[in-house]
Amino acid sequence: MKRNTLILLSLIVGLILAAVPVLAHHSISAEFDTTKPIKFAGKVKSVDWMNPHIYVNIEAKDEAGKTIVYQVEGGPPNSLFRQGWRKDTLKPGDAVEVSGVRAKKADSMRIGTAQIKMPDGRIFARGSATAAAQ
Amino acid sequence: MSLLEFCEWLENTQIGTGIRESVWVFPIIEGTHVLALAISVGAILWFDLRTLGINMRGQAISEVYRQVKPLMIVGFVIMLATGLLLFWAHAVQCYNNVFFRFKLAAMFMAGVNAAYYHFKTERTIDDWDKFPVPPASVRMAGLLSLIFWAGVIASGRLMAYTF
Repeated sequence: MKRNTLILLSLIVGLILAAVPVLAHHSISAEFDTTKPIKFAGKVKSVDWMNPHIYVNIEAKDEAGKTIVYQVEGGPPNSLFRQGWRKDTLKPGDAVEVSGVRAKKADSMRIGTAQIKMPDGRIFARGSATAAAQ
Repeated sequence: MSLLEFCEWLENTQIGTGIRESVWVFPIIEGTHVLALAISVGAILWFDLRTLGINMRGQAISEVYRQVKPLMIVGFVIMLATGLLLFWAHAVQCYNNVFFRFKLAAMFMAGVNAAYYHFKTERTIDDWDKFPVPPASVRMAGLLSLIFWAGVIASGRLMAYTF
């Protein structure tokens, strides 16, 4: 009886732990294609600081020299905030370098798993702690 | 004002923007929504299994209902309240989201099914209250409830993948 309770308890705890990332955000592969990496330099147009994850709109030039706006996906405000990022850390006009992956949809301008290199060299990344290291 | 214009207005109110841009409020509302769902639909599940004649077959159906009803109602009220707040923050995306429409439709059907059971099928409960396996009309209500609520949960979850 006691042993059954223990097994049940560990099962419950395991299920709760397994559910945590699901609650945090959706999976990368649902929207993005990790085999389509992209790197570009551009200027911050605006920041949509919002749940469940933020978007940084970045103006850049495509291969043909045409100006386009990429929507670069970032982490949720909560984890960004706890890493020290704020709504106004990235400012309109900031020159940045972005590396990430393209969306599966060919006409989508969204960029996933992105790292945004700021003018001062700091790296604004999705859910990772590289902020202070660079 | 069209429905879409209303959604645009709603999510740009101070409360809508506040929730959407919050650091703590949004994840707390979201977590509460899911926990309330577990309470409400969890309670509904036990009642549905009883009407299907799968579980608690020795208990009268009315008695099982009496026991799970408070959980159903408390869970549902919290789920609805937190759900409305989440909608408030993302009204336009919800409006444009096909899974949100599925979700509303499935919720509506679950409501129609429950109303039909309580106002029509349940009238003859004295005849089958203590049956281990009740008549087909009662089992059908339980089965439909399970299907519709599964639809609500699945489409709610799918919304997050298409936001």
